[in-house]
Amino acid sequence: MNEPTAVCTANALIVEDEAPIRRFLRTALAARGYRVDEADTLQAARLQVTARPPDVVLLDLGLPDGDGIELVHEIRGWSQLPIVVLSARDQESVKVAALDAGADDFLTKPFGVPELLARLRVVLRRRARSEVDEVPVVTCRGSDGRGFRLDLARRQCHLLGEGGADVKLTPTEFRLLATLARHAGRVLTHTALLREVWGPNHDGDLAYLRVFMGQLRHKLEPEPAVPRWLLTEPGVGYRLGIDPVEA
Amino acid sequence: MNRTVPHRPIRREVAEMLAIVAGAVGLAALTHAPGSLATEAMVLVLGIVVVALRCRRILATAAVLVSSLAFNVLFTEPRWSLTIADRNALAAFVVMLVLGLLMSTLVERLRASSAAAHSRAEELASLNQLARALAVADDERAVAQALLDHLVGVVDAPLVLLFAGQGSSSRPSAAVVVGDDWLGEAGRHALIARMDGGTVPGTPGPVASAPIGLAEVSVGLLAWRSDAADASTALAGRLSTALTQAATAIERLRAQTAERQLHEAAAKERLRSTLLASVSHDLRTPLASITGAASSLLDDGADLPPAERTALLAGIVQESQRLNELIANLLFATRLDAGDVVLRAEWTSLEEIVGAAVRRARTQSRSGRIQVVPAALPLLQADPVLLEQCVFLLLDNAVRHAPQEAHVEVRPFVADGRVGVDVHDDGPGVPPELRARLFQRFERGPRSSGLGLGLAIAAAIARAHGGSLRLHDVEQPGATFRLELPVPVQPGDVAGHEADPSGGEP
Repeated sequence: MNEPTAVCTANALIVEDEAPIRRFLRTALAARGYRVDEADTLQAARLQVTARPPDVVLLDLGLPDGDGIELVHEIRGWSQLPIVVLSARDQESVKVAALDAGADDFLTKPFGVPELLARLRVVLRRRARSEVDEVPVVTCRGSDGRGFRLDLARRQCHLLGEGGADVKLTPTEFRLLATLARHAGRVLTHTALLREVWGPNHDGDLAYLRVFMGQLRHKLEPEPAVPRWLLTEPGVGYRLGIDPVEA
Repeated sequence: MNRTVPHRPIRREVAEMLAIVAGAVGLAALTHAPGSLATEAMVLVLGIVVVALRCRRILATAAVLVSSLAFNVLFTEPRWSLTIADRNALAAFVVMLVLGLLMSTLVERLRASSAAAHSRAEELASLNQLARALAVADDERAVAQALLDHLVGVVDAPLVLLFAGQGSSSRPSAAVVVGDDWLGEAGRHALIARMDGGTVPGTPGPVASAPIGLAEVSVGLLAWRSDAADASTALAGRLSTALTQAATAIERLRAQTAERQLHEAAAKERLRSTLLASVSHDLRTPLASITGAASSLLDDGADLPPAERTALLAGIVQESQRLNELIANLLFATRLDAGDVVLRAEWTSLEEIVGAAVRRARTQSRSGRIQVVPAALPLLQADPVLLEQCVFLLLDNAVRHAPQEAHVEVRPFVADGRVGVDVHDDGPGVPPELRARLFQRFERGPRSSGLGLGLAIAAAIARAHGGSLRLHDVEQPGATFRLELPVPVQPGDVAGHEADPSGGEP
């Protein structure tokens, strides 16, 4: 909480039926300059979204009058506005369903404020960026100076820190890393990655994905067994971690 | 009873009878001397007795007649005629005739009773065998099979056994059916609905039956094909002992089942109360420190030095996370019990699983004391979420039970078609008295503040994957938990379709 706060002027809509959680989200977001709207049912959320389209939606999936995934489908029918889903840990299949329906990311309850802000930063940055163009260079660097830099335009990858050198990636490894980098900080489901990297006919080839992720880690991570950037979300997908999300 | 020693063909017996009588007559003729005829009569009676012993009764009677005739014609004066002049000779003739008839009757009676005794002994042996088979029968089908095995030797007709399912006796169903099912589905239902024999509509041919049960309560029915009603009634009488035995066995089984269910319910109830007591205590501990820290901040927050305020806040966050873990374990254990945990097996990388679990454990314990020894690992068919939880629970267990300064090392390995992970800590190890119960629920180490569910859940996840979790190398210092999993056939040559690294050029 005591990290330097950049003032944000985005509109956030909180869709959550539990009042204490709404209060905690409202307090945390308002303190950082967000303008906050709230809805405690699916119906109220529908009205809010259309009457005053927010910049980001925080959506609890278990609402008293229906499934939050419905709202994801409805919003994606007319808008790409960022949606972050709130769910419990043992609901991986629900998370995947929400992400495949078009949600941008998820937060597992209970979560802390740093995690919440990191997620929001990522999805809002994506929105801002897509209005300009792709970021051509993505840098992942730890506090010890080690890490890597990916140049999407030149199709080059360079190790940072001591003994830094260019890394040779196979075309598939590059496509996989580039896909993760274009959505840096955001979770990508297995299905989404397989479609984007291998094409629409490779939905089921999870083993490919596992093997190539392993190869990328061994080429890019200082400690491949406990990755810093090429992160696994068990049962959901992968994420290129660029923010110090976890403590 | 009707059972007697089986006879040989009648012709042979007649020939034998004639031969024996002729032999006796011959012997009598050799010893014949005028005067007393007692010797001759005795020799002929001897022949009759031998015939009675060897042949059927009618032939014994015939032997009496033939011998008498021969005695009269050959030995009494005047010889070669049917008249008897001498009174002594007449007496000898009459005595011989009566003696012959008496002896043949006696022998026949003896033989019949011996045959009956033999058949009774056989039946008793068979019933004994049935009793032994019933004693070890551990379900109703086994009882039915034992009864059927016994009956096959007794009833000489196609037969079928129907056992009514437990529950409403008004509409029993054919729960257990053994034997040749010549009745067919419809016949069985018609029969069991009536619970008696006779000609039942829908059954092929006349059917006789006997109920299987104690007193008024019928647990089943034996049915056999029968054309003669009288014979069937007699047979039903003979079967009653066996049928009662079977009914007793069924009753015993049902009583045992009821008792076992009662015991299980009681054990479940005990477990539930242990759980409740344990849960309320262990959930309260973190709650107490959260409440304390939060109320202290609320009351004196403004006066507290910043460092202390931060410490209280950090405590709240940490204890909340702990509470969250406890609840997650509790929930998972409940779902396991309810059979609610579905294994979603997919191609999974053990290296990734270990990495994710270590990352989570490092974040929670806020320490870098967990190290991973790198190893080249195959892909697994496993549920990534459950497996990550399993490895995490092992790490969490090590972090919480080993002292603060202890190191935790994760050592993945591949050997002999198995792949696995050793989670080792150089703490004091597991006390010997705890080892046997380590993976049982609600078993807790001396330093534990948890529910005693973590290792039990981890072991359940390992088993669900066809693997195992155990304490490894107990002789070595520290504690090592070994998770072992089977290695599936690897999915083709996954990376093979791509050439060597080409430097990122398209």
